[in-house]
Amino acid sequence: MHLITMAHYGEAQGVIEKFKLKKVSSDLYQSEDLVLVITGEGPFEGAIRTALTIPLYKFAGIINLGLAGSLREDLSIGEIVPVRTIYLIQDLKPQFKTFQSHHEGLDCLTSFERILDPKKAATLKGVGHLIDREAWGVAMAAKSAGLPFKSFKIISDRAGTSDACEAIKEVSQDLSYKLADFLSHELSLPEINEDDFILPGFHFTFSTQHKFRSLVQKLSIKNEKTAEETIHSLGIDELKKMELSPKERTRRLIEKMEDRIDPTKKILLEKTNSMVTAFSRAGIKVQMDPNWENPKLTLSMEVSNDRELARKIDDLKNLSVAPYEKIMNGDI
Amino acid sequence: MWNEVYVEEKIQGHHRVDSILKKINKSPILIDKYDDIWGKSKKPYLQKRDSLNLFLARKEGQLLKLAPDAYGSAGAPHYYFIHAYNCIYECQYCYLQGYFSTPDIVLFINHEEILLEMTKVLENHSEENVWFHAGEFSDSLALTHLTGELDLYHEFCRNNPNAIIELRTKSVNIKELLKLSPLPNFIVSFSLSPKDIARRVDLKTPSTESRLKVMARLKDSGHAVAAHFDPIIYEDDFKKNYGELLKSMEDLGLTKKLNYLSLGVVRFTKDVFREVERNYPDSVIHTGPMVKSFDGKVRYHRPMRMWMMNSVREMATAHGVPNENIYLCMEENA
Repeated sequence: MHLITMAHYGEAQGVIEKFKLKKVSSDLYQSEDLVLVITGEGPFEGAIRTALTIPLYKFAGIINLGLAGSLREDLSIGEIVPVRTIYLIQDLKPQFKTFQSHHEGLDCLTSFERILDPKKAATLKGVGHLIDREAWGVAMAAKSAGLPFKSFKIISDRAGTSDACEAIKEVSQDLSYKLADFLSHELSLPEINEDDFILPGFHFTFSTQHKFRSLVQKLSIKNEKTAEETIHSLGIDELKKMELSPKERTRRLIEKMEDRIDPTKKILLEKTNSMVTAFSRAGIKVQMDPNWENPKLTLSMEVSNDRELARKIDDLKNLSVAPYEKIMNGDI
Repeated sequence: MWNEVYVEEKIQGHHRVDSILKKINKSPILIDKYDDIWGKSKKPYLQKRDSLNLFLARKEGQLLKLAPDAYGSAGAPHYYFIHAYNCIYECQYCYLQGYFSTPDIVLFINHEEILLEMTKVLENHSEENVWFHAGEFSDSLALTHLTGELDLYHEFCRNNPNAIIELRTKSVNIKELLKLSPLPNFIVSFSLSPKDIARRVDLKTPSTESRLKVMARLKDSGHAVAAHFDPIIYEDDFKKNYGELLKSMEDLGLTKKLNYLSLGVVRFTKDVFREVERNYPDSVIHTGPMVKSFDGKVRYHRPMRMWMMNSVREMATAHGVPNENIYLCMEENA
């Protein structure tokens, strides 16, 4: 179920009719798939009415629809645009918190006041393209509830003109029906699901699958190849021919991919292996920073008497941490 | 190029403002203070691609800042001066994307006040050289055809031989620079990467070949030049690629003439790294083994970055850069 928010009944009329919404209360309308709330004008009103409606149903997402004044001359009245970033404007100054609706689109300024003065509109031209009165509040409520949020605006007038309100009244019914048609189309878009992941002969758990996908992506970016080309370059057929369990095969595949991302890791382990083994033979445990960042090693041992302690001290005199020091200084 | 141009009312009519406005041919919007609008709200970084605003303002407060340790070559105090905020280029690793809350550009026009501060600093360091770096918050040459302040800083260097000004850039906009006579303490330093990695991460910047060409041109005109291999980004054939870059520099007679070459492996504060991931999820930068390092920054692990820096350093000396002219930038034990 989707929650649609609109500021005024006039804007919402088309949606109410097209989707055959039933009145639940003075500002709430509902059908089987859709709930519409009329928020009223203003960022606080947008936030409060949306926040109060969210707990009443189980929503998949929130769509803010409505009229907006244009700060740009190249936008036509009646054009419907996706909103990119939403700014809050108070006393003609943008406030810090902004919300994203789409990756691409136009930037909308939610203003505490109606912008009817051309000078005021001019000041805001560099901040965004559109002016509305409620989108920022709706976005805040949606984001606070962790719900996906989208906003679309229909251009109703030029911001900064004193007769903007009259102009809107004249066209509001037409715009309302346009918005309803648009919403109908928007809600009918199919959702894109990722294909199921299948690689025969391998056994992927949820986490190895995630790791595999992430490594394919990294290698594809690194080598400027497609995902298919990357997978093809991994020698999967050779791995399949090996007498290995699907789980072990997967482990080797991922190891191979990790080596390609960081070819130094294998070298570092090889170079420190003989040092660690030598310490281990003497009963001394070597702990290295798993992130290869801290140049200091931790040595630990267990002793139960002085004789054992003396022997381990003697052994320590013959051991060296030079291989670690060398690699930490870049000698790999 | 500019979506809108904002000018502070108090600098309206300033000769530098008039000159900039004339060149960009756009009517300004007058405002009280630039930061009433600039940086007030979180404007996503990539919106600079289609709605980049320009602010002309007077810089107030701190005009010079002491640079952090290991910022430049050791043994002298380093300061950077703030002539602008933000940049027209779009380098994927740029820390500005997480530093300011907006990508909009501010050009400060009160250069005389900056120079006055620099003079005061020099008075406290009369016995030693003092470095002043431009380009910490913006490319220092990219917009000089608009801003026209280079001659002031050049004159300052001429009158103060113990002041060294470094103009850090990726720009090939050297027209204004070529009008000035060469001075040993007026250094133009170019950030360089092998051509392929530059193509992938230095978006909207001149190519490495173009940068090398103008570097050679400046060098041939007698200007002091330097280079930054920073950030060095890992690729499987990074040694080969840096070898080719250094060979090109050697062929142009640059390696022996570099005032200095700084080396730094790619690194980020946690916040900037998050921004880079958000803005450029498909960047080659994310394909390397990054860890949280000794100073909390995100870097390649220590053996890898030391290996990379040592390798490039060895290659640089082999191609003629004197070892004493190479320094490691922003690295522990640098």
